[in-house]
Amino acid sequence: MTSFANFFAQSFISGDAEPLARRLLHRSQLEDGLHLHIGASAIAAETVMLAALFEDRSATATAVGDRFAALTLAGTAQSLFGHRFECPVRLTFTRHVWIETEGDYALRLTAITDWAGLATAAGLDLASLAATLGARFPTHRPLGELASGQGQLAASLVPLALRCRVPDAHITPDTSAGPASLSRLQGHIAGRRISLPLSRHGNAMLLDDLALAATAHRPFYQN
Amino acid sequence: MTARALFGRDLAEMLRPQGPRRQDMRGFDADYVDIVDYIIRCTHRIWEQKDIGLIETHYSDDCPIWLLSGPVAGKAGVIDGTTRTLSAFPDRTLIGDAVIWSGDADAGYLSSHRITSTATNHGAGEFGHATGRAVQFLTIADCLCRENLIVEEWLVRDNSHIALQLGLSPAEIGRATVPTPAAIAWWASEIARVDDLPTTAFPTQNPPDTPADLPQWFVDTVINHRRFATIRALYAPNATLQAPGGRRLWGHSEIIGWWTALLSCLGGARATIDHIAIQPASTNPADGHDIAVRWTLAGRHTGPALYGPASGRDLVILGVTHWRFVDGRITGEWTVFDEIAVQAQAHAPIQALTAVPA
Repeated sequence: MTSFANFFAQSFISGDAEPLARRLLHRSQLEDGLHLHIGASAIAAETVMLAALFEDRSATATAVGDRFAALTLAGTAQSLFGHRFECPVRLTFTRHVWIETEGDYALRLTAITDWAGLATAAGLDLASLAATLGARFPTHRPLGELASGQGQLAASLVPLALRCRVPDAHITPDTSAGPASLSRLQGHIAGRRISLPLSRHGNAMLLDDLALAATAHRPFYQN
Repeated sequence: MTARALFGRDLAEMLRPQGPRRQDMRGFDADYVDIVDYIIRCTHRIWEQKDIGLIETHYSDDCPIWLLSGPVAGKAGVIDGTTRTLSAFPDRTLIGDAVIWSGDADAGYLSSHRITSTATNHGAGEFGHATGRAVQFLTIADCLCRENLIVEEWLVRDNSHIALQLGLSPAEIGRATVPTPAAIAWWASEIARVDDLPTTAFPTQNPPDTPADLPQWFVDTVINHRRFATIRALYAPNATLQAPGGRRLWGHSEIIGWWTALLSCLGGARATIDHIAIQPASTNPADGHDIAVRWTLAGRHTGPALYGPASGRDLVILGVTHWRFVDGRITGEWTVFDEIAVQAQAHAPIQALTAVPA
């Protein structure tokens, strides 16, 4: 049976998500940064929209069974994030997808996409993109969730670069597959709760830095 | 033979003819093969295909429906309410996430149906003018079903999440609510029912390994005795919790944080269990069990964490929790109740709350 990694790669190249959609359940969900796509149709639509951003697409995939896919995606973009380029730009970016299955189907998908790397390579202003993205995702005020019930034992090993951006960062293991592992980054930035997946494959660590930066700009719900 | 769970099954497959019956379905329409099939198929027909008239053949004439905003009765009200909701959210999809059932054909089947809905607010409705905004929200419908009819229903919907996504304030909606006399009387009787519960000894047992023992242990230990630390032993470290207001929480700390916040609002609160259903998640024991618990929680509004400044009023919450329980640990929790109805109890004009008929 074709692996999910190949389905994602082929969907990106062809722009046709139908074969992928046949391996999803009606109740499948895809988390990608601040986005949550609910249902097979919504996930297929997201896959098609990602492909539609580029022409002359190519993709390579590394799979660990049906649980993890490391994708290197490339294509030529005329525009990105609402910004139209004077000349088409050739871009390459990384996407990790973690898959929780039920039988032959994917139930819960967690995508970590290097949107920040993509935007930077395209010469776009990351701070401006983060502000625009964050404004679209209102959030609750924190509830005192972080390290709740751990007291002085709440220390967590966090890479220094991340600690500088998120002083109270916690990283908790979620799952692993061969040389790949998935964790969850939690903490606060500008008083907003952070909960973002952090994926490692070999020596490479992937975090959606755009989503992290956007979190600081999320408006609070008016409860 | 027994009902087939949703595990690993897509809707398209579930809506195809299912062959011979898998369960005693005396009195049900011929094409329903088990209680899960009945719930999934009739939900699709009535709410997604908009064959709203089928409510006439699927609800009893006097069916009581228990909503925290106030009880209603009768299928005519169900038809009117469904029509209004689908008018406001015409593209609503009702994605069945779980049907956790108990009972039998003689006593009736009790189905606890968890639904993730996606919809666009294209029409005026209970939340005001059409906004054109997309929403998603969680509902759990506990339905007692006999001979093709839902004869009693307990319905919890994450109304505060809908309001927030529409740009509205659940607190303001709650404050502007004028509770019905039936709601006020029911809240009072439910608060009295919980108040009359005997106190229990301090719980010292570790979390149970068996699903049957989990609901009572959780209510007694975590809710009634506030032993939040036990959550670390009971839940998997990467467990998820979907809580009211559309909160999607992850891991021990956030789960402890939310339960602490909820109970910090309700001084002296205690809970009681009103119904439990437990089913294997799949035919493979390694996939664990799905557990549904309907509960009533009551206490005095003494803390501001979730529902505004402490009002000092006695509040009651009708809630339903679903757990996925694998290898003696909770890996996923979905807890649903109507926070707008909680806000109404806390902050609706006092004269409205005292207008109980003699």
